[in-house]
This record gives sequence, C-alpha cells and structure tokens, in this order.
Amino acid sequence: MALAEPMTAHSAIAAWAAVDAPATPESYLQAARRRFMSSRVGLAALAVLLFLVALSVCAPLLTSYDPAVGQPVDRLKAIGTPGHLLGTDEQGRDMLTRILYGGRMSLIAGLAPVFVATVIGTALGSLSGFIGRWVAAVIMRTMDMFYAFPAVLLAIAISASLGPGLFNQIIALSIIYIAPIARVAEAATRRIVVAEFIEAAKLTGAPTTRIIVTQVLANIFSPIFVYASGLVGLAIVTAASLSFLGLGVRPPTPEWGFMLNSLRGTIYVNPWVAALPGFFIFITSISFNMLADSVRDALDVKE
Amino acid sequence: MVTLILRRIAMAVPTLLGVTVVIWLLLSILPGDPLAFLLPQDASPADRARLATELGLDQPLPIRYVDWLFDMMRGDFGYSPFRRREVADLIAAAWKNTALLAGFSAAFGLTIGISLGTLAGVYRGSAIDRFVTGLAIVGLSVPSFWVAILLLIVFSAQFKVLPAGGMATLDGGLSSFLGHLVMPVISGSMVSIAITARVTRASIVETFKAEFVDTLRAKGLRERQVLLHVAKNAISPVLTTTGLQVGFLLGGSVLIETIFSWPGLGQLVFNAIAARDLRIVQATTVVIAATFVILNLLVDLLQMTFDPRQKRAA
Amino acid sequence: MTTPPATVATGLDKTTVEKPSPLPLLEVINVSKRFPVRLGPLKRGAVSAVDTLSFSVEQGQTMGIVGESGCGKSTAARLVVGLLPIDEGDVIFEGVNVRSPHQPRHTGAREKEIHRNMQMVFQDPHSALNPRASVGEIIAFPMKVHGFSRQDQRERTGWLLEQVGLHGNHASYYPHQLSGGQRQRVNIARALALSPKLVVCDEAVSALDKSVQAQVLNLLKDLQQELGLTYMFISHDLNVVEYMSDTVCVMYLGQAVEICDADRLYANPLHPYTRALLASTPVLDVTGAPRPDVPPLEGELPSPLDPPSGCRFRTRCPSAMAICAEEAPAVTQPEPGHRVACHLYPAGPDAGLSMRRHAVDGRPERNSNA
Repeated sequence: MALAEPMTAHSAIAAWAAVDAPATPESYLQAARRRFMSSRVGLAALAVLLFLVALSVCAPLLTSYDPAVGQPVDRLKAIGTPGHLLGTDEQGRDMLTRILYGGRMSLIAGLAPVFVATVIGTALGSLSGFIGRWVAAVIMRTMDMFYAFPAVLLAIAISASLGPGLFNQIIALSIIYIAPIARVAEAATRRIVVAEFIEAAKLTGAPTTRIIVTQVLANIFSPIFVYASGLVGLAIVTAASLSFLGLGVRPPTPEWGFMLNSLRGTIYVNPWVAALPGFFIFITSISFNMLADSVRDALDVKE
Repeated sequence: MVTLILRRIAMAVPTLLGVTVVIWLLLSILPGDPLAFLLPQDASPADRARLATELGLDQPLPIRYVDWLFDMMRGDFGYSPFRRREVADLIAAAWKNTALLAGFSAAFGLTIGISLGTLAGVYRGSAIDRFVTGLAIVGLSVPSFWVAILLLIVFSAQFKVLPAGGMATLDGGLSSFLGHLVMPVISGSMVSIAITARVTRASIVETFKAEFVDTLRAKGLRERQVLLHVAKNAISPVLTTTGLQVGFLLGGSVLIETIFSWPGLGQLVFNAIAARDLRIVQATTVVIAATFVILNLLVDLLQMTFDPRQKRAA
Repeated sequence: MTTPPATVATGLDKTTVEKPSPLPLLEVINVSKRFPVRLGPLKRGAVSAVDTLSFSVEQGQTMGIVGESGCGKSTAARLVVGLLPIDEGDVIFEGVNVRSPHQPRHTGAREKEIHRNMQMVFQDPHSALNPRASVGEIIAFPMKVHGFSRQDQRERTGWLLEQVGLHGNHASYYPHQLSGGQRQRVNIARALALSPKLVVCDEAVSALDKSVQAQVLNLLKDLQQELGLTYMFISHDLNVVEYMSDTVCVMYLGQAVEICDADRLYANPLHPYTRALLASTPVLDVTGAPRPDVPPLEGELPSPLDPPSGCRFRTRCPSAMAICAEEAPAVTQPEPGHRVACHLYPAGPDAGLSMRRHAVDGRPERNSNA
C-alpha cells in the first residue's frame, strides 16, 4: 500500500505549522475579558458596584456622623435638609451615614453566602459528577431535598433556629444556595468527564482529586461562575429580606433591609426617606444582575 | 397513562419525607437550645431534665424524628405556649388566607407575565421587546418588600385610596375584598411576572424558529392563525415554571403578609420568629413545603395530560 | 534527530530493543467485559462487550485490531490500558500480570509504573485535548504527575513537539487554535511524554481528512522506528490497519474471529466475516492482493445484549450451517500462524488452541497465571 512518502524532515512541517498558527495565542479567559470590556452595560454595572463598594468602605471618611447614635431633636428630617443630605431616621440618625455604613453589611450578607455555597457546591457537584455511582446518588438525592422548599422560606427557618446575627444569616443563605450550585456543577462535570482528555489524565496514574482540580475545574468554571454571579443579585435581596424580618445584624448596626423595616412606621410622616434603603438594595441587586448577564455573554455560556 | 400518573405520585412520597427530615434535622441539630424558651430563667437542672424527658429530648435522634413525624401525620403539631393555641389550629386558619393571596398573585403574575412575554416574543427586537426585557430584569432585582412600601407610600399615605393592611372577606363587599388584595398581589407577584415574561418570550421566539411555522405560512394561514399555533406549542415551558413561581410566592409571603398584616402563614412565621416560638416556625415550614411539593406534583400531572411529549419523559 | 533531554528510568525496564525479548510485550488472555444495563424498573441485563478475547503483541511490532463499530475494539483498548476494570482474564505486560478482575483504577506507585509504560492515543481530536490548557500544559501534565523537574518538563515538551512535527512555539497555543491534524500530533506527543513501551492507538486517524490521515500514519510509523515503540492499532478501516500492522486481529461482537500476519490475512482471509468485511472495502493498492469475491456484508449487527447462540456471526454468515447455532466454534489453525474461529475449519490435531499466540516460532503456550 502506498499512501504518502514517509516524512523525514520534521523541521519542514514545523516551519509550515508555525506560519499557519495565529500570531498571538489567546487563552479562553483572555478572550472572555476582551469580550466583557466591549460590553457597555456590563462596564456600567461594574462601575456602579465599585462606586457603592468604595462608598461603603470609605464611609468613615465621607461622613462625620455616628451611624448608630442620633440626635432625637433631629428626628425624621426630610431629604435635602441642610446637614442631612438624605434626611434622618426615626431616632434622628443621619440617613446618608447609615446608608453608607449599611452597605457594608448588605454587600457582605449577599456576597459571602454565594461564595461559600459556590465552593461547597462545586466540590460536591464535581465529585458526584466525576465519580458517579452511589456517591452521586447520595449527594445529589440529598441536594434534591432542598429543592422541595421555597428557598426564602428555608433560609428563614434556618436563620430563625440559629438566631439573629450576620454570621448565622450567612450560614442560612449559604445552605440554600449549595443545592442549585451543586446541580450546575454536577451537570457540567458529567458533560466533561466523558471527554477523552479525562481518560488521558487517568492514564497518567494521577489520583482522582488531582484530576478534578487540574482537568475538570477549569472546564466547569464558566457555567458555575455564570450561575453564581446570577445568584448574587438574588442573594442581596434575600439577605435584606432576612434582615427585614429581624434575622440579620443586630441593631443599632445599620443594614439596608432592617432599616427599611424600622422606617416602615414613618411612611406617613417622612415617606421618601423610608423608601431610601430599598432603593439602594434595588440598585445593588440590579447592577449585579446586569453584570451577571454581561459575564454570561463574555464567557459564552449558553443557558 | 394511569401507571405513569401513579408513578409520579409515588415519587412525591420520598420527597415529602425528605422535606420533613431536612427541616427536622436543621432545627434539631443546629445549635440553639430548644429548652431555653420554654423554661424560666432560674429553672433548676432537675426542672430542665424533667422537661427534656417530657418532650422526649432524651431519646436518640431517629426515635425523636419518627415520633415527631407520626405526631404531625395525625395533625398534632404541638401546643404553642406563646399563642396559647394548638399549632395545628393556627396553621389551618392561616393556610386558607395564604392560599387566597397566593392564588390571586399567581393568577395575576401569570396573566401579566404571559401577555408581556408574548408581546415581546412576537415583536422581538422592537421597542416593546426591549421594554419588556428591561422590565423583567427590574422585576427580578427589585425587593418585593420595597415595592410593597412604595405602594403603601403612594396609595395609602399620599392618596389614601387603598387600605394599608389587613384582609377583608367577601361579606364586606367586593370592592373592600379586592381593595385589600391589590397591593399585596402586585408587590408579591413582581418576580413571578418577570420570570413568566422571560420564559414566555424565549419560548415564543424558539417556537417561531420551528419548521412547522414555515409549513403553516406556506399553507397560506394568516399570521394571526399562525400565532395561535405557536402559542399552543410555546406554553409548555411556561407551565413548567409555575411550580417554581408558587415557591417564590410562598417564600415571599412571609414578607408581604408581614407588611400588609395579612393573617396568613407568613405572618404566623414572622410573629413566631419574633417570639422565638420555633415549634410554629418548624410546623409552618413543613406545611408550606408540603403544599409546594404537592402543587409541583399537580403541575406535572397537568402537563402530562396536556403535552404528550411529557408522558415519555415521566 | 536530537536525543531526548530527559531519559526515563523505569522499574519494569527488563528488555532492550536490540535483543528481542523471548516473551511478547503484551499478552491478553481470555479477557471478558460485560456492562450492566437496566432494561426496566427491576430487570437487569448485561451487554457482553468483550468476550474471552486473547491475543499477544510482540515487542516493536504493531497489532492491528479491526471490526465494525460496536464490536468491542475500543473497550478492548480501555481494558488493556486499565481505563476499565476487566471482569475476567489476564493482561500480562512484560511477563507481569498487571490487571486483576473487578479492581477499579489504582493510583499507587506500581500502577503509575504500569501507566508510564502503556499510553494511549485517543480518537477524537476535539475531546482528547483539554480546551482550557495550553499545548505545553497538556503535554507536560503526565510528566508533572510523575515528578519530572520543571526544567525537564519544558525541555522534553519542546523535544516531543519537534518529534511529532510541530514547532516548539506551539507549546503556548490552545487546542482551538490548532487544526485537526495538529491536535492529533499533540495527542501523540502527550502519549509519548512518559516514554511508554506500548502505545494503544484507538481510531487515532479516523476523525481526520484522508490527506492528513496519511501524514499522521507515517508519523506514527517513523516514531515507532525511532523510539522502538510497540503499537496496538485499532481501527474500523481495513486499509489503514493493513498499512500499519504486522499482525491483525479481526473482532466481531466482542470476540476475536481471526488472527494472522497482515500480509497473509489480506491475501487469504479464512473467516467468512473477514472475507465479507474485505469485500465491502475498496482496494486502494492495485499491486496488493485482490479482494475476495464474496458478497459484501449485509444486515445489522445483532444486539450484544442477546448475542446469537453458537457462533455469533451465523445470523449474517453466507455459509452458516446447522452446527453454527448449537456450538461456538473452536479456534483452529488451518495454516501455520493463521488462527480462525469458524466451523468451516474443523479442529485438527492442534485442538485446544486459543487465539492467544500465533505460534510462528512453535513456542509452547505459556501458562496463563504467570
């Protein structure tokens, strides 16, 4: 059988291949960053969020009022009052100050649970997806149980039994987000484990955990990251809901959700100040949702 | 078909059991002293031990779970020292009110959501489409309790056209009954509207791409008739999300009912949290979760009868 | 050709290339594999993917395995390299039994040594390379696992890229930036990273264009000569197998039906299946043996869930007889070194043979539990 002349000159092929190849190799993440940088909505949302984070971090530099203590004489001042740009609350505390400081708690309460749940959910999901069999059955059927609850209600029940406080609130929210992230991670892992490069990695004799970390994680990162970033907006609102119910940080520490509840009684006297904390929850949440949409497009993940 | 339905119903049983296990474990194992709220501050260790025995807390965990489960299945949810009522009675009274509110909210959310989504899907790329898509992202991001407060500010505080809270029965007249429902329904169904609109739009757009649409047009059907066919085929994914949405409504009910003093399960939970009456929180959560599971089952069964493709999937 | 910068010392290195070993490099003895399947809520069944498969591969030679899709060739490859646990039988590599039945994948030191000597070139150039890793990372990963120094990894990666006809600069590229042929070269480079003795090529060129196929096949041949590699070459393409192999094993429904030297098999196929298979393949080489004059293969492959009784090929066999449904045919040797499992060739004096070794040199069969 005569197919082709055996190649003896490897270098000739190499030269041809080098010409054929693109000039600058661009990794997947570099391409994603380039796509994100060209999305106006995403950049705007990112700018808003960075601005909000900067404001809450720099709160002590921006205002001289104490967020926890007010002047009873200055109670319920309207927006635009000199000295109190955003008015005062029912205890005479400066609203601008409380919004700035309150942002810290609201952002932490929304971001931390998604982070914790992503780490745990990815570990559980990738392990189930990779090993399959009874490991997957035990983990994923347990996760299914959490789907039988309205998520907010479960968070409320857990939070209520743990008692109020930022830390407990973060635990409660983390628990409800583990199951959906584990599902996303498991589905993505199952798609990837059938690939031949996973078999190639097994043929090196590397242990399972090493294969998951080096070969699987980078490949399931996108769908998980997209899903998790979409959860942040929801988590900000849910965290504020728990605080609204008195299950978040303890007063007098300011937090947007709880502020909204304690100002509820003043809507007849000072309505627009009462609505302020909700406005900030909304702006933060919608910015995260728009950012998540842009990230999804940039990472090119199909839903 | 009958066996399929029976199998689907049988599948709900382990889910319901799982619900009870999760709630029971979470509330039994998580830190927190269940006796702390039942005993006076100066209770002696002997009093403590006696109460623990009385409540069965000295038994091993699996036995305590089974006892608790059987009590619940008999309708015995325990007694609330705080409300001085049987928990089961409290829940039964509140359940009807929550069902009423959730029912109206779901109907409202689905109607508005499907209408907006269909408009956006049919006129995709137009200004209407962009408006609905924007509205959907707002609906998904906006805290329902903030919408509730904004509505209160505008309609109760400023214009004084709607009652600030409470529930009215039909005996008091239709306008009072509906008047009390307007604000809770609107604020509670924001998320529902957003999700329904998104899913409907996506489903309509997807169905328009299908080959049968070209066939219908080639047959000379008018666009209005084509749309009818498309809508019929696009409805299934929308139905699938209804179960999920009832979940959002039930979860959100705690906030909405609290703000509008609606005497439902949500308010019951809120008051129980404030009073640290965990027994009520536990029981209500199980009841709401069970309602949620059964509703999802009903949605599935409904779809099985409507959509022949679902029969094979089940 | 440059010399490899990182020479690999292996624990199992008992043979040298210059002096052929008295033992074959790889012996597969009566290996079987069944996959459990669910037929209903309570009913379970098993697909017999590989059934009492036996063959042996000599050092420095190429064993071609050929058959229709679904005949168990790929499963056989995965059983040999240890990606799937075997149900029954033995896999003997350099005289050592390297697999025990039902054992899942091990990652101990001994298994690492076995893996180092047996590597695989995969079929699909798209799924065989990690899309999130650069070519350099892909080739270096096996070396990383085996504790090569960073310096050795880099140098050897460059050397390997050159060996497979790529440029050293390709190390920084990502798979999606390469053509199908280039990816398959990376696939080969990775398989060679640990200096294996046996390379299992599972449909290594099937996904490539014909012109690129030829280049990659020739590359594999060159590498075999330069590095003294032993190949197990799996393909559904009879022409490709003919071009590559010294010995060919024809598989049907999980069983070996004929094993013979490549030249003799193509010149004088004995088994009706081999004949039909050859008849359905166009002749590319006019100077070679003409294809047998029999009707080409017809009908569908029977379900491996419920293979036909007796001879598994009888449902499609033009020469099927009564006995074929009753008894599984024994392995016979109608001519020296040419083994076939078919009732057309009744057992002679050498009854009791297996497909294990085509006994050209007349060596006695070795005991399987060596």
